[in-house]
Amino acid sequence: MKKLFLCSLCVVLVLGCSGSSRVLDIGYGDYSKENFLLKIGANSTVRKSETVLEVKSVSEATLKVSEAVTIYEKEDKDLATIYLVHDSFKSIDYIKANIRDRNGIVIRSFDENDAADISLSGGGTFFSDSRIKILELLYNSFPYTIEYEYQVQYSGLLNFPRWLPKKTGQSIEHSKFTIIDKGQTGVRYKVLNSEMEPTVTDQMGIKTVTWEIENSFPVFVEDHGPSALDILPSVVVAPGRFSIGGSFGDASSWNQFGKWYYDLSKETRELPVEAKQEIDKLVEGLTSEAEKVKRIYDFMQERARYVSIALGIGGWKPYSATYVFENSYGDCKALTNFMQAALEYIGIKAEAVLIRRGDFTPDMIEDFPSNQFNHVVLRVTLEDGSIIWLECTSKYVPANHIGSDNAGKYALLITSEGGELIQVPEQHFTTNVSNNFRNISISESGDASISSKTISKGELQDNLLYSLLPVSEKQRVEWLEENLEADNRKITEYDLSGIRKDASFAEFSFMAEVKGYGNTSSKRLYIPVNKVNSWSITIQSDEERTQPVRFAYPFSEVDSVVFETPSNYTFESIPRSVSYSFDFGEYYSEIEVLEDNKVLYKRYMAMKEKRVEPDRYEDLQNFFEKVRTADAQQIVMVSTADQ
Amino acid sequence: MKGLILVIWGLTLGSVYAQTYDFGDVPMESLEMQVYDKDSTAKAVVLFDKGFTDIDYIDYEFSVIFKRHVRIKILTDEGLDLGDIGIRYIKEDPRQVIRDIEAQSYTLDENGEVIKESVGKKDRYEDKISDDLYEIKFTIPGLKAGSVLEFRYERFSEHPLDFPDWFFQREIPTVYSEYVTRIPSWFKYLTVTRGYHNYFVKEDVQYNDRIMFRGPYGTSRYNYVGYQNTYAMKDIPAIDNEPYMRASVDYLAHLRFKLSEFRPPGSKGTKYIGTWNKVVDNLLDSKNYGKKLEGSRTLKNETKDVIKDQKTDLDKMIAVYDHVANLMVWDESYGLYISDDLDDIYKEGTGSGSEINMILIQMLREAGFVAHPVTLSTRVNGEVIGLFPFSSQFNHTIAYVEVDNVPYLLDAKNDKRPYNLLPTSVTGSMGLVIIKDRLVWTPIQNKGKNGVRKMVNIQVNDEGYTGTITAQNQGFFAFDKRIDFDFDNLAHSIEEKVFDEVDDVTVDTAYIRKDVLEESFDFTASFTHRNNDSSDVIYLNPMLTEHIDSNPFKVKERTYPVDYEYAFDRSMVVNIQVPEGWQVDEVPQSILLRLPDQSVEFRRVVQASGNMVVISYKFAITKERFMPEEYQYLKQMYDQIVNYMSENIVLKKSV
Repeated sequence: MKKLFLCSLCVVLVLGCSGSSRVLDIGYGDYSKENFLLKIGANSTVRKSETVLEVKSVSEATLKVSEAVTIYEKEDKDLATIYLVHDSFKSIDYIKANIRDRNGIVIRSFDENDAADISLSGGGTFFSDSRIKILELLYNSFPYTIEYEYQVQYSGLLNFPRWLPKKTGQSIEHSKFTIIDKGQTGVRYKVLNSEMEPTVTDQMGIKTVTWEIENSFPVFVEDHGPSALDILPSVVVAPGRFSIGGSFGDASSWNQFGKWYYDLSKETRELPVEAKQEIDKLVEGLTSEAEKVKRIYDFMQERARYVSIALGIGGWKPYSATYVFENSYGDCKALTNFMQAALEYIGIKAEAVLIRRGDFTPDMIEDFPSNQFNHVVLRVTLEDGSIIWLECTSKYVPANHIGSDNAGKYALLITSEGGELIQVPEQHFTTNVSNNFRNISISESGDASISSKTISKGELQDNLLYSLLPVSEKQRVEWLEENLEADNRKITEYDLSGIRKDASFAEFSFMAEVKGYGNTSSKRLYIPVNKVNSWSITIQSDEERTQPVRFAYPFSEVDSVVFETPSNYTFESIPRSVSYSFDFGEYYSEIEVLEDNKVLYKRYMAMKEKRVEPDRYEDLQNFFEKVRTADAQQIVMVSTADQ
Repeated sequence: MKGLILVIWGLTLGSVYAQTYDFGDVPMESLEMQVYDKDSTAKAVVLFDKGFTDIDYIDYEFSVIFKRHVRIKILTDEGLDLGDIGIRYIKEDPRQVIRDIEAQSYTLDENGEVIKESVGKKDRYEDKISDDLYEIKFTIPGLKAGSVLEFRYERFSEHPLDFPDWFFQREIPTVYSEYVTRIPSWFKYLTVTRGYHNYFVKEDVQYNDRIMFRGPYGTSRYNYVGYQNTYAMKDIPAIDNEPYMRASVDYLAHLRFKLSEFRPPGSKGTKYIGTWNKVVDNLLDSKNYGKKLEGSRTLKNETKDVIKDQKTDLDKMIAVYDHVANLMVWDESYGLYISDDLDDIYKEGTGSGSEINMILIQMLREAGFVAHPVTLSTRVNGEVIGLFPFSSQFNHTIAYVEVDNVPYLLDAKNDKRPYNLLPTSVTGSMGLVIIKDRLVWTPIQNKGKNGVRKMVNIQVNDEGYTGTITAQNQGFFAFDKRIDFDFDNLAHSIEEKVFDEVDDVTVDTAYIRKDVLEESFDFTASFTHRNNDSSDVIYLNPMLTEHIDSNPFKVKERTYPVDYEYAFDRSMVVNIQVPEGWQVDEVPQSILLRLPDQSVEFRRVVQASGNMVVISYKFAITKERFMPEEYQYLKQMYDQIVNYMSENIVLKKSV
C-alpha cells in the first residue's frame, strides 16, 4: 500500500470553529509527546479519561465523562465516533468535543448540535423509544486526538453504565473513575478482569470511591474466543435502592431485586373472562399437571408470536397477559407473563426467570445483584416437585427445551418472596444427539439412490424444528435436497411427520436420487464416504493462545452407512479406520467390506465441551484437521473390464 | 413545496373502487387455502394489491390522493412477519399525510368460524426515520399460518409532482395487482413500465367531468376531460435473490410516473420535465453540486504539493488520484449532493462517494487538467431511465479527466483500487458528463482485463507431493487479493484463499513478486501435501486451485437476465512430474465447452508423456449479461464443469 501522504500545510489551517463560546479543554497538556510503548500494537490510546458518576437520590444521577483518545491510523477512524443512547429516563445535558492534530492544536470544536439523532428501532426490534446520538469527529491527518466531554442526566435508575476504561486494541495512559454516592442509596460496584483497588473516602455521609489505571497495554479477542467484556478490565456499578418511572426497588440483594420485578409484573397477570374460559376448555378432562402445562404451552405457541417492543421503564415493564391474549403477540416479558398467568389460573406454580441470554454473551456475575438480564423464561414446578422449563418466545420447541443460549446459565428466579439465584440445566453431548442411518446404492455412472433416516434429540432436534416448522412443505423438500450437498438431486419419497414439537425426538426419512454422487473416470469410480455431514471447521494454529475457544453447544453424531457398489467393479483403495480421542472431543470412523461388494461405514463425532481452554488449543486444532481429513476420504473402485 | 394554485371549488370525484374487493369481505376460499398452487414454496401470497390515485382539488390547491388496499394470505409461520407493517411518509417537503388506516386479520378457528381482529389506534407507533421521513408502524394481531390479513390507508400529498409509483412484483408472489390513476387532461405524466412481466389489463378510458372556476370575471362552470388508466397484472412470481443479479429494481415489474406538464385552461402551462441538457445546467448551477467546484483554497495548495515532483501529465494525474484515494475514507454512503465545502470534507478526510470524487475533480482541475463530474446510478441503485430527465435518478459521481487527449474515468473511494480499475458498483451503467452546453453520455466500463494466470509445478513423491505455484492477477483478481489476503500471514492466506477447495495442502513459503496497483498482483508459493497412508496407488486431483465444486445456478428457470459483474479470463498450466518407480495409469479427459455465441469458453487439455503430465486450462467469459433464454446453457455448462473438476490423475507403482 502506498504511504499516506502528509502535508505540513494542513495542520495549521483551522476549520471554522462552530462559534461555540467555550472551547473544551480537558487539561491534558502536550499531546505531541507520546509514550511509544503504549503505541505498540494499539489502534488508539486513551490519553486521559475521567468519569464521574454522582448518585444524588434513588432516582437521580449524573454521569460526566471527559476523555482524550489518540487515533493512529486511517483504518481505525471508526473509533472517532461517539455513540450516546438516550431515552425517557436518560437525557444528554451536553456534548462538547474537539479534534486536535498531532501537535495538540485544536482543529475544530463540536457540540451536541453537531450530532445526529437516530431511533433505535429496526434490526431485531420492531419498536423502541430509545434513541442514539452519534457524533463523528473526523480529520484527515493521523495521528490525531479526539477530546470530548458529555454529561448524562438520569431521572430514573435501574442500570448504571459499566466503566470500561479501554476497548479492545486500546492502550491507556491515564484513566480515572469516581463514584460519589450523595443520597446514601447504597451504590455498589465490582471490579472485573483486573486487580484494581479503589480509594474510598466517606465525608459527612458522602461516599466517594475512585479507581485509576495508568500505562495499560492493549488486549485483543482471539479467534473463536470469549466476548470482549470477558477479558477487558471494567467496574460494574449498580444502584442499591432505586426508583424508575414511579416504581421503587432495591438491588442490594437478589432477593430484593427479584421482589421489584415481581411487583412490577404482578398486576399485569389478570386474565380476561374469555381467556379463562378458553383455558378451562383446554385442560378439561386432563388429570396430570404435566399434560396441562403442555396443553397450555401448545396453545400459547399456536396463538402468539414474538414481536420485540421495548417501551417503558427502560423496556422492563411487561405488557399484560390480557394484551397478549387479545393481540396474539408480545415480547419475552409479555409472553412469559401470559403463560404464567394461565398456569396460575389453573393452580400450577409458575415463576419467571430473568436471564442473560446468548450463546456467547458473558456469564452473569453471580455475586453482584443488579439488572444484568436481557431475557425472561418461565419455570414451572409441579406438585411432585418436578420442574418444566418454558421458553415462551419460541413457537416451535417442546416444553423443557430451553435452548443452548439459556442452558447452563445462572439466572434469577422471581418468586412472590423475592428473587433467588438459580442455575438453568446444562446441555450435554449425550443429549444433543443426531443419529443417521443410510443406504447408498451407487451405479456405474456414479449416481446414487439414497435412503436415509435421521433421529435427532435436544438442541439438534430444536434446530430441525426451527428450520422446518415455519416453512412450506415445498421448502421442506428443498431443505432435504440442499442437505445432500449435490447439484443434481431429487427427493423421491419423504416422511417429515416426525418433526413435531410434541415428540421427545425428531425423526425424518427420505429417499433420493443423486446424480454424480461419486465421480467416475474411464475406468474408476470414486465414492466419498461422507458427503453429507463432513466436518469443515478448522482453526488457525496459534502458538500463544491465551483465551479459551467457545462453542454454542456440545453435541454428538452417530452415522451408519451401507454402500452398495456395482458388481463389475472391485475395490482398489479403502479408507483406513481411524480413531481420535481427547477430553473435549472424540471421533472414529470404521470401514468394513461386506459381501456382495457392500461396504459398511460407521462414524462417530462428539464435541463434548462448550469451552476449550487455551492449553488444549493445539490439540483442538489437530483434532479438527484430522476429522476433516478423515471425512474427506473416498473409496476407489476399478472396473473389472479394465484390469 | 408550494402547491399549484387554481381557483376551483366544489368538486369531488366519485369513488371508482370496484365492489368485489370490499374491505372485510374475505371469501372462504382465501381462508381455506393451504398452499399457493402457482408457487408452493411461498411463505405468503399477496391476494391482491390495489392502488388508486386521484388528483384532487382542495383548499384552492391541487393535491394527490393515493388509496391503497392490500390483502395477503399467510401460508407459513415464516410469513408472519408480513403482519409487521410500516407506512412511511414525509412530513414537510412535500407534505404528506397518512389517514384512514385500517388493518385486520381473519383466521379460521377449529370450528370453521372466522375470527376477526383489528389494529386499534393505540397499537400504532410512529417512528422518526430521518429529518423529514416518518414511519407509522403496527403489528396486525391474531395472526397464524393460514390467516388472511388486509390493510388500507390513504395518503394525501400536497403536490402533483409527488405522484406515487407502483410495484406489481415483490419478494412474495402476487395473484393480482392493480393500479388505477385518474388524471385531468391538464396534467401530463410520463409513465414507464419496467420488468419482465406482461400486463393483464392496460386500458385508458376518457371521462368527462366538470368543475367550478372562480376567476377574475366571475364564476364559471368548466367541463373537462380526464383519463382513467388501469394497469393490472396477475400471477406475478416472486423475485428472490439469486446469484449474479443487478439491483432488484431493474427486474421487478413496476410503473413509474413523472409530472411533465401542467396546463390549466386559459394558461400557457408549466413544464415540469425538462431535458437532460437542463439537468446538466441545473447541476452545474446547484450550490450543493456544481458550485462546490469553485474556489477551494486548501485543495489548491495541496494539489501543488502533490504534483510538484511528477514529470509527465499521466504521473500527475495518478499522483492526484492516489493522494485522494489514500487520504479520504469512504463512509460507505452514496448520494449525489455535496454536504459541505470540499475543503472541509477534505480536512475531515471522510466523505460519500460523490464527495470524494468531487474533491478529486477539483484537485485535477487545480493540477491543470480538463476534468468534469460524471453522474451515474450505481448497480444497487438501478439503471437510469433515459425518458426521465431527473437528477434524482443519480446517486454517485465519478471523475472524467483528459490526459494527453485521452479520456479517463476515475473513482477514488478505495485505496486498494488503482486509477485504471473502476469498481463493479459503477461499471455497466451509463454516466452523464456534467459539462456546460453539452450532452455527453458515457458508458462506464473498465478497459483493462480481469484475469489470472497460474503456473503450477507438482513433484509427486512417495509421501505425497511438493510443488510451487506462481500466479499473476490482473484487474479485479488483483484487487480481490489485496483485500482478502492477510499480508502478515501470506502463506496462510494462500492456503485458505487459493487452495480453497482442497484439504491438506500446506503452504511452506510465499512471497509477493509484484504488487503494482495499476498493473498486477503476482505471488509465488511453495507447498506440500502429505498422504496419510502409503499404498500402491496415488490419486491426485490436479485442480488444486481454480477448482469449482458447485453450480451457482440452482433454480430451474430464470425469468430475468444473469448479470456478471465483469468478464474474466482465467488460465492455468499444471506440470506434474511422476517419480521414478511410478507410472501414469489414468489422466483426466481433455475437453472443450463453449456457448453457441462463444461468450463462454471452458477448455482443458491433458497430455501425458513419459514421466510428465501437462494440463492446460482456461475458463473465460467475454460478456457480462446473459438473457433468460441463455440461462439453461449456463446452468448445464456449470454442471459439466463441476463434474470434470473432480477427475483425478492416477499413478501406480511400477511392477
